Amino acid sequence: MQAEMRFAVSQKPNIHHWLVVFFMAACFAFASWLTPHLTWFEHIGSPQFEEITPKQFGDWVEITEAAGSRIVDPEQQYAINNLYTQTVSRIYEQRASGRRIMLSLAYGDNQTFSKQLHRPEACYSSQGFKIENLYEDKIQAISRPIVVNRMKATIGSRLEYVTYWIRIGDGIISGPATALNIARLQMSLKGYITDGLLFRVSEVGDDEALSNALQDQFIDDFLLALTPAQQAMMVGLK
Amino acid sequence: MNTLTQSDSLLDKMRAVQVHFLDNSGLWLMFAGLAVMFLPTLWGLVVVSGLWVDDEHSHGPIILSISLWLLWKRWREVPDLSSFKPAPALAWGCFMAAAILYIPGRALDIIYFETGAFIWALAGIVLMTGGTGLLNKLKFPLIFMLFMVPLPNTLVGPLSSVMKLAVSAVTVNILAWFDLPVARNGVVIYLGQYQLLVADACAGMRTLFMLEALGILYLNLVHYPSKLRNIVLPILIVPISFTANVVRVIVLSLITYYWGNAAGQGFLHGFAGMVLFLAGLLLMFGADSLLRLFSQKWKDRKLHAS
Repeated sequence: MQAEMRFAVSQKPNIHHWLVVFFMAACFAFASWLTPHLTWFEHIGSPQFEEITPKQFGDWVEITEAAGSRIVDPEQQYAINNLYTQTVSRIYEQRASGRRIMLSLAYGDNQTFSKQLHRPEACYSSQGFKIENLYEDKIQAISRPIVVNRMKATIGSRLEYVTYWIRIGDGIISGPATALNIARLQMSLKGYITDGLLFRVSEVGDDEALSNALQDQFIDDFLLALTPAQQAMMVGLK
Repeated sequence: MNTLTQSDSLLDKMRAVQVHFLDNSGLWLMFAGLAVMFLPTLWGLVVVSGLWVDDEHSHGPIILSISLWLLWKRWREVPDLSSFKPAPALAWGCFMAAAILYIPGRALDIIYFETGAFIWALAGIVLMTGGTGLLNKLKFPLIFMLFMVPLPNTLVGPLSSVMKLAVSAVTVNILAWFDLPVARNGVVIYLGQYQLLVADACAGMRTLFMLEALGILYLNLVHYPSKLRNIVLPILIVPISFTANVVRVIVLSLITYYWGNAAGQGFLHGFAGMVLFLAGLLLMFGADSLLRLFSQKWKDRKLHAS
């Protein structure tokens, strides 16, 4: 019986087997050679968003106590997953009008599979907001066009108008959800592990046109207060 | 022969490894190549990105272990490898497919390509060793491995938000039948003074996945000849896992309502997860028993008719 078992399987290595080993090792070596090792985070000067976000600029000033204002925290739910490496949450008041804008930055220095930014429409709706009227818009800030997404989020009687963009590596992405991954691949082909920034402003209010105008103003003022290098950290180079 | 290979003593097991694997130098040579190619992937999944340790994808290593165990089990049942003819051309086709997925997958960090490549590479090794005959014997563990490939968020995300909405809606309806003070806004459930958020994890795409995998594994292991059961049960698992999720959200809601928020979020949250899984398994076996009953009746009637 044992003899029968010994007879069961036996294949001496032939040329194919050796080729397979060689082929597999080559696959690994080639893939390793292609894999980017430089990070875009370092390429743009290792931004520290909490530090570079001005507390006061133009007609805007940061307020620390804001009763009744609730910023939807993009970090909240996914904090455990270490989705973001940096987040900034601020509320600013326009001195002339007393109106308030909420600013939220969520930054991840590596946009791989499990650590990709979550889009605000997903964050808001997973926190119970109803998202209406999500659309793409083009605004002018620091005399260049910026593609933004706008949406209206409601919860109960609270109405919030939101404007956001996502920068992946050297530019802002637009279009369908796959755009993020396509941008990531393009950055990889350029030799960089890409970062990602979600820049989001919002206002609680009930007039869409007015709110959008105020947000555009805020974005322009905000970016103007930054150095060119810091602007690139926010909106990319393109 | 059978008693020898199936015997459980450690010595026999070692002998089986010797006979079926170590003595076959062509085979383990290819496995060495496989290790060079995919141990870094495993390292990445477990340590670097930690995807497989993550809640959402932690079923991956379980599926891999089950598949490898099944692969080994079926491999040992093969009496004589010399009766199979290697198919190098087909094998190289598989290796090419693996390379096409693996290289961009690894270089550009597309984890589902990289993980998927493993299945092709393994299929290539099987074809190189025993051709289509051997592949046919081992096809189930190989196909079963598909369950370990992490799915892209762009695919799971929308599916899971639809699930979430439906789960919350059904839960609220059921709770309302029992005259509980319940209301809903999107995925937020208001129950008395409490506000419960049905989160992504509660939507249970992972439960669906695990149940589907276990269901298919179960069907394969029991080897029941009935077509009805083999086709209908996997389809039934979708509504079953949905029901199990509703059960979980209801259990959590009631815990929070009667014992407070701390209870609902603490130890009992994990407990509800177990309830969900058990509910899913019980429902699955229940559905299977019913199907067995039906197919039995069907057969009886056919016998009577003829």
